[in-house]
Amino acid sequence: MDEEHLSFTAFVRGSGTRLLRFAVALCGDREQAEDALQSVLERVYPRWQKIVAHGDPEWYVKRGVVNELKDGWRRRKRRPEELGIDAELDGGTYTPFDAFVTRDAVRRAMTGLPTGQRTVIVLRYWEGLSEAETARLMGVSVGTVKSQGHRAMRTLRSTLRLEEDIEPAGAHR
Amino acid sequence: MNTETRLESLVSASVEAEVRGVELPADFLIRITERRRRRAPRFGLLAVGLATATVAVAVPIVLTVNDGQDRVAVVAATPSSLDGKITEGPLPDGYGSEQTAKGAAGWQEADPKVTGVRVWVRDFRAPHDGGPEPLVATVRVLTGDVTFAKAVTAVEGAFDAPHYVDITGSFPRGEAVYRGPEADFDGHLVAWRPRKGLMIVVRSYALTREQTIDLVKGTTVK
Repeated sequence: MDEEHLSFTAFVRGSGTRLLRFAVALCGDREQAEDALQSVLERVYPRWQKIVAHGDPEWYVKRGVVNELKDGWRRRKRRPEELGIDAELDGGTYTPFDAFVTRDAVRRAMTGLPTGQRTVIVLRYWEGLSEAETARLMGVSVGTVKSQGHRAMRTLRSTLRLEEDIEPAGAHR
Repeated sequence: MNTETRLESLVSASVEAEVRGVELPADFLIRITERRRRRAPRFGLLAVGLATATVAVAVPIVLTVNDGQDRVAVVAATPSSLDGKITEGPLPDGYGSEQTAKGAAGWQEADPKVTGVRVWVRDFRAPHDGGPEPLVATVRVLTGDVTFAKAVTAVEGAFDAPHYVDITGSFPRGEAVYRGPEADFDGHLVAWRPRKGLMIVVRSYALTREQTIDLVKGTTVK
């Protein structure tokens, strides 16, 4: 077993779970995240030595995951989900009642965001990156990060307020 | 904390809850080096099967079960949509074997009471010498645009909010909530969402919390 393979193995064992969580955070779907990370690492594996030589392979893989998920979203737009499960917000029958369900409401609202907007707010508020770092990871300008982040938060505010305002029939709190 | 900061915190907490417990699969490294594909998720077939199932149009009929404790409006029985696809988790000794537990006539599609969701229901009753057989548990499988709030409404008939706790850590994947005995609530309720679009809910009357969780956790779909 050569040194390059051992180095790659050590990287996946050491950083793999963190990278998978990163991918899940970006797309909100475990299977999709696994597929995206696997695709990126399959491309990275044969070029591992060169990538390591450039420094910070984890950043490189994260960037690959961002792009892979973006491409994946594009592919799914061309070929609609086969399951036919409606993931749209129901916008009126949902009332957050505790921290758990509030988180669920936020996640559902995030599911409705366009890819770029969701990516920005995950990188900014969960990953804790600056606007400049977010822009670099996404391969866009800082201005784009600002505008997409602004739109995302505006959408979340309006969606969550809507849900909080509406009480379902028969509810008693 | 202003609205903007609170929303940022909610985003962070929501994502954190989503990734909590996510671990790299044991075979992930070998999948990469040998370019093996991920196995299809266990619940995928169910999602496809249920999403494409045809429901016959029928006038809803309200059935009263368990001496009026629960009411299930049966829309139209479509046994073929679920027959053989779902296996319930274990029931405890004295209830759980095929010889002693008595299920209703298979799975029946019920009125979901909420939009965007389909619900299949099955009751389990304990054997009883004479008189009505006591209801042990009702297992529900929900598909579609499933949320915990909708699941609660589907089970309780109305949205009954404040007493649910997060028991996600008791399950291998997804998320789960629990409601236990209180002044106006007997038995246990566990709702588990193993993946988007699918939820398994058990309302038990004669089981412990652990037995109820085991019943939910052990429910499998071919």
